[in-house]
Amino acid sequence: MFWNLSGIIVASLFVIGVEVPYLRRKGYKKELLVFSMLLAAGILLSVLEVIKIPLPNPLDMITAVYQPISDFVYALLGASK
Amino acid sequence: MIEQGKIAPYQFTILVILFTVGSTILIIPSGLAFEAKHDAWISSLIGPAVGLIFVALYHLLGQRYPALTFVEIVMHTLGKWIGGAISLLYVFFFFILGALVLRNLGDFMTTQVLPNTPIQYIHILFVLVVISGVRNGLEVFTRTAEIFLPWVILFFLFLIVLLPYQFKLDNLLPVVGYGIAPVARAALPYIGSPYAELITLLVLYPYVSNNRKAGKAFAIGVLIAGFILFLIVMTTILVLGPKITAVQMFPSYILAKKISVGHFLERVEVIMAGIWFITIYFKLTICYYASTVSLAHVFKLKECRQLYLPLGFSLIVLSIISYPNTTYFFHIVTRIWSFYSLTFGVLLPLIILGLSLMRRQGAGSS
Repeated sequence: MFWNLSGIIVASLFVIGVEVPYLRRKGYKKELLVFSMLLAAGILLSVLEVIKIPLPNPLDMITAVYQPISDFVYALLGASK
Repeated sequence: MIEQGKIAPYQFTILVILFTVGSTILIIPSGLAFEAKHDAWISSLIGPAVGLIFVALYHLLGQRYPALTFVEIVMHTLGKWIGGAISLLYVFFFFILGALVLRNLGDFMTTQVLPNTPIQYIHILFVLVVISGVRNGLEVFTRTAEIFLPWVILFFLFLIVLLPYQFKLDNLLPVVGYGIAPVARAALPYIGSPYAELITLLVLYPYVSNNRKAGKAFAIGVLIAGFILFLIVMTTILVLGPKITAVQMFPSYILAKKISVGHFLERVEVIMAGIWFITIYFKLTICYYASTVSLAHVFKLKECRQLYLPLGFSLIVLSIISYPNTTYFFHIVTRIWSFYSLTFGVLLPLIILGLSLMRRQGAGSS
């Protein structure tokens, strides 16, 4: 776990080192904001995954939405459960 | 526009072929054989036929607004707020599609080729290659696709040419022996993935240099890819039979293992795996590109190259958590995904096209 966490830190420092100087030189404010938010979200998700905190799976939500339609259509096509 | 590059219609065809073949070539024979058994090949013909109708829809939409990007079309027809929300849902659709494609490759590598390597490391390495490609822009990875397509075709022909002496024609009988319902049941997931996912390529539409020819290029690409997938399904059923095909997770790989010529040409399956390394690479690249560019359009950014690396973190996490186990994977692929992708690939584009037609009429009459 220690190595994984340090890997994430090194990787994020690398990403910041590669992209931020360019964004600042060009004076892109909004780009820098979106970049920071995406990076923060990415780091947060990776850290939570590494320390084994269960994350919500978006496919669960998609399944919840589409399961009734799927059941209906496949019953129409004569599928056995 | 963020993207300055232009691609020729034939290059667009190449991207369509690689995208459609994508990860589908790896898993589709088992899904089709599971439901349609001996008739899997019939289902594999329905897919591209319906796919062509989708292409017509996308072409109508792309032709109406040749200068607008996909997000701008959505915003233009649905308004700033609803359009923005729908665009973000599309960004998520492209993104999760990329994550699932990545997971297909990771699952394949960890079960068949590198069983002791943790799946995270395979994903990280693959995503690094994808990012280094996509950061160079559309034109560069399109030309790379041009270099790699002949190899895909070559390996594929190799696979098909070396197997006919193992064909068992009995595997095709009885034809439509269980009625038409199983064939339709099998065709539905195949229509949902990859054909409804072709909406991703609409993001590239404004960058095709000759907009009029783009529709034809699109259709040709879908036809060629549909034929490749038909051949792989047909060969798998003929060589392995529907029962063995249905229980395999990666039947095309098992098919390549069957190649054996005179105790001399053996164990060529990893070379065959090169086909789906290449096609999965380009499918993932296009999904990743489409989601990032669309996201940048939603927020009206001037450049999006800087977003690839930070998004990579989330892509890898999403690909790891998306499928907790094989049963879950199978349920999503066979029963859920097609409805999700049809919502974004057909229903919403139809609504957008309908609204845009109505608005044009309203403006004309008043």
